[in-house]
Amino acid sequence: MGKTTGNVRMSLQTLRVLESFLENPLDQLSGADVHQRCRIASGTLYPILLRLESAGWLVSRWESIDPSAAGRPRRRLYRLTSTGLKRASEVFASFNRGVLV
Amino acid sequence: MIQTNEALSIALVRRAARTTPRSLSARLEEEWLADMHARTSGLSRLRFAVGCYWASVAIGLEHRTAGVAVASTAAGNVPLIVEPPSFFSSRAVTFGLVLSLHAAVFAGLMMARTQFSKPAEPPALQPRVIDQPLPPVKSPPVETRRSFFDKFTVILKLPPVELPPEPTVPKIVSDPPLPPQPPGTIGTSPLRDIVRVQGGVGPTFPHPGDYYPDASRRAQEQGAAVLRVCVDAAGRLTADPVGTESSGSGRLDAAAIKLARAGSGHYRPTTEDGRPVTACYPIRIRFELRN
Repeated sequence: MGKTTGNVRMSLQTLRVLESFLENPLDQLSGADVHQRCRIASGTLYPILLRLESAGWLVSRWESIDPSAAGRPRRRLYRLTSTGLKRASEVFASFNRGVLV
Repeated sequence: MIQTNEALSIALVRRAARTTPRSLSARLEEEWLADMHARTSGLSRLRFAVGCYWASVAIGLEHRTAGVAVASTAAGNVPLIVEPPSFFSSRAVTFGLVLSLHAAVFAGLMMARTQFSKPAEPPALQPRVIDQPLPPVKSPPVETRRSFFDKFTVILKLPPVELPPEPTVPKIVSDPPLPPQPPGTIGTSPLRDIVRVQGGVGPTFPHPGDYYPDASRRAQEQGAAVLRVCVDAAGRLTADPVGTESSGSGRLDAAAIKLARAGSGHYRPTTEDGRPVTACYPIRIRFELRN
């Protein structure tokens, strides 16, 4: 989605979203899963997910299920990209070093 | 109720998704509806839907924002986007909403204060003309009732008085007070008893509720004070009211004095043989809280 710029506005909520992905970088999480992990309201969560995806830190795809068989609609699943993993790790490392901007 | 809540949530999510940029609206609608489906309670779904509406506003604003400035951390490895100031940014909208809410609350408080601090004016008395002749009246024992306090009720039982029939002329009910007459002209016998009816508060007397001290309301103070007032034939005070029995609260006693002063001109004067005269008498002012 959109152009990858690599720039992301950092906020406490963004850091919490990144942290939930960093718990297991291979996990594919839907918005509902991220909400369960970091308890961020939908009004804040989805703009952050779109922002991270637009920056190339996350990629998303539709869940490969048959909605009629599963009895529920398919979800949009997000996962960290290699770039996102690297940049998110750098962000947390910089905070761990006490560099706050 | 549950179905209404569900329908409202779905409608909110769909509407929110449609307000996002066209390239995203279909995807976000499906994604948000699926994530809302994962919520268990109806209230949680409604909150989710409202949040999606807010998210759609934020997403729309971000897509309209043009140009970014990039700042780096001291370590040089965490780039940040500093959005250019926008009049309709989410922060500006939030600030505007909070400011509007504060203004509305302040205006409401001021209006309520103005409304409750202004005492209601009593309705003006209108003279009424009666065209029918009055029948001869055999006066019953005089029973005088006050307008709002049972404690004010004064019952004087007097011997019946035969009144002569009045001529057939239109009569104005609210007659002006009769002028005082010199002594010795009342009746034909100098030994006849004078029928004296003690005065009290009139129907237009101010209501104690308008003078109830706010501090006493908060402290749930109630009580009755007895005052001695001297009133002339026109219902006006001739001297300052004097407290003779305390209500038990200094605030209520002061309010009773204030009320008695404000009622000057609204007292019902004492009458002697039907004629108003200047006299002093006690009145009881009760302050009580009602639900």
